[in-house]
Amino acid sequence: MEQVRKKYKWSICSTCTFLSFCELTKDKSNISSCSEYIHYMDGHTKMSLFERSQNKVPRAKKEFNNWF
Amino acid sequence: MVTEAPKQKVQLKQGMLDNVMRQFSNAAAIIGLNSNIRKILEVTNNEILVHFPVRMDNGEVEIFTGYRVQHNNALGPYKGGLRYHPTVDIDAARALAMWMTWKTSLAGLPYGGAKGGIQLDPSKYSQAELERITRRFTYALGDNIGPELDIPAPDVNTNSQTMAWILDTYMSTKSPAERSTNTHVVTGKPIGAGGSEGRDRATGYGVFLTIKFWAEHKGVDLKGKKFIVQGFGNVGYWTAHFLENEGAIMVAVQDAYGTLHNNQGIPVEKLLEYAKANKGSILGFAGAQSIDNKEFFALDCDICVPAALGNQITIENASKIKAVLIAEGANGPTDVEAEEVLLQRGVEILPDILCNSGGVIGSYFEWLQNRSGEIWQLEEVMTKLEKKLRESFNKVMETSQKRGVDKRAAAFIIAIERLEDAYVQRGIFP
Repeated sequence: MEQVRKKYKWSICSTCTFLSFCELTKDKSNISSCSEYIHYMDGHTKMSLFERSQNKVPRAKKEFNNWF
Repeated sequence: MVTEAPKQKVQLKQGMLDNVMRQFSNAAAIIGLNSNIRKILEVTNNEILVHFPVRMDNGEVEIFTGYRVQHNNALGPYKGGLRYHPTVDIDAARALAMWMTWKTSLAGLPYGGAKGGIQLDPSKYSQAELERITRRFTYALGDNIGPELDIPAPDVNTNSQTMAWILDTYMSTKSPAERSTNTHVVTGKPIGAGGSEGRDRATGYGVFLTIKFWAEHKGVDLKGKKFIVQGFGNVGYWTAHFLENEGAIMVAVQDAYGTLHNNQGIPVEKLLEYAKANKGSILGFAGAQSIDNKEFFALDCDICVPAALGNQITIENASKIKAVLIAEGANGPTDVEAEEVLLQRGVEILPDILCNSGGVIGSYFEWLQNRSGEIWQLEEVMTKLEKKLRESFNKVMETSQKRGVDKRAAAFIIAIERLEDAYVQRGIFP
């Protein structure tokens, strides 16, 4: 995988978690924008300094089903 | 946007700038833009380049190069994203900053255009290193950014966490009495750090709204209309969600893993649930058949929503498209030659600069809430977004009809005319 990333160094694909199985384009060497892109940083958002308290009830996610 | 291969890197950047300049020149020629104003808009106001040291996890120090290009602020503070990517350089930032000026102007926002970032491959750095890089970059930019001067936002490889670090660092450089008045130095923040409700779905909702406005304009009912979506990420999902709520039927979807098709309809929410449980992949979903990716754009449908990569609709597939409307959720999904073919065939295109502007409008609402110390509810955000987008849509349709130009040219004309008005009314100092 490291070799593949090196190959596409100048493309956003080089830092995308979908790289190995992306079917949107065959030529990954020249892509600079993609809405399917999953950032390297996404999923790595755990704070290094502060941890959430263990007993904290997660904030209810407001649903948006009845907009119309 | 598809650009050139690495060995043609210079052409790649030049191409991006050329593209933006060509669109600007085309619109400027149509309206006969004053040559002096044209001179001003052709160049950027400020270009900031900073080199800064950061201590790595192994104790070594690495020097990074960061950019911030501020293109124009005639309409308000500079606004635009910060991206972390190896391709970030001054030319890319110039092109994208200019693009932001047109986008904010068309949306009728009190903003100018800017773009920036750091030239790095974030996959090579730990989360702690990225935090230190972000904080030191913010410090290096110093008072070149600010809530009433230049307001960064997330872009490629940056997210709400990055914005929270920038906010915290920027506020720390201010006196205690000033700190809480600086929350709007960045937008796209986590809700807990001053972010806005609805920012997550703002772009997709905007794409849906422009389709809805177009249908109203044409006297078409969206109920029962078939649509296909390329990309099932944030923009693709939310667009499909709102279209389905309106009674439209998703018959095909393509993402990074492959393409699904079912002429009877693919349930959007069930597909999302499946994808979430399947490591993000739509493949294997029981309610549809997997088909070859090449067949996607040729599928029978009424509306096509490209919401993934740039340059996906090309001369190769433009003549095969059966949709009557293309709503550009992604940036630059239709290339120039393909657009000519589509317009000749009578296919309507809702241009990206209008269609995906819900995101920057959502950012504006976050900025307004922070600025006035308010917290709006989701419904309020969405209602205001609809009002703002309807204004832009009506203007584009009116200009397109009045001047006899396509909707993309109309969008650029509106953006440039608004800037022209500002210069004509204000004049130039001294």
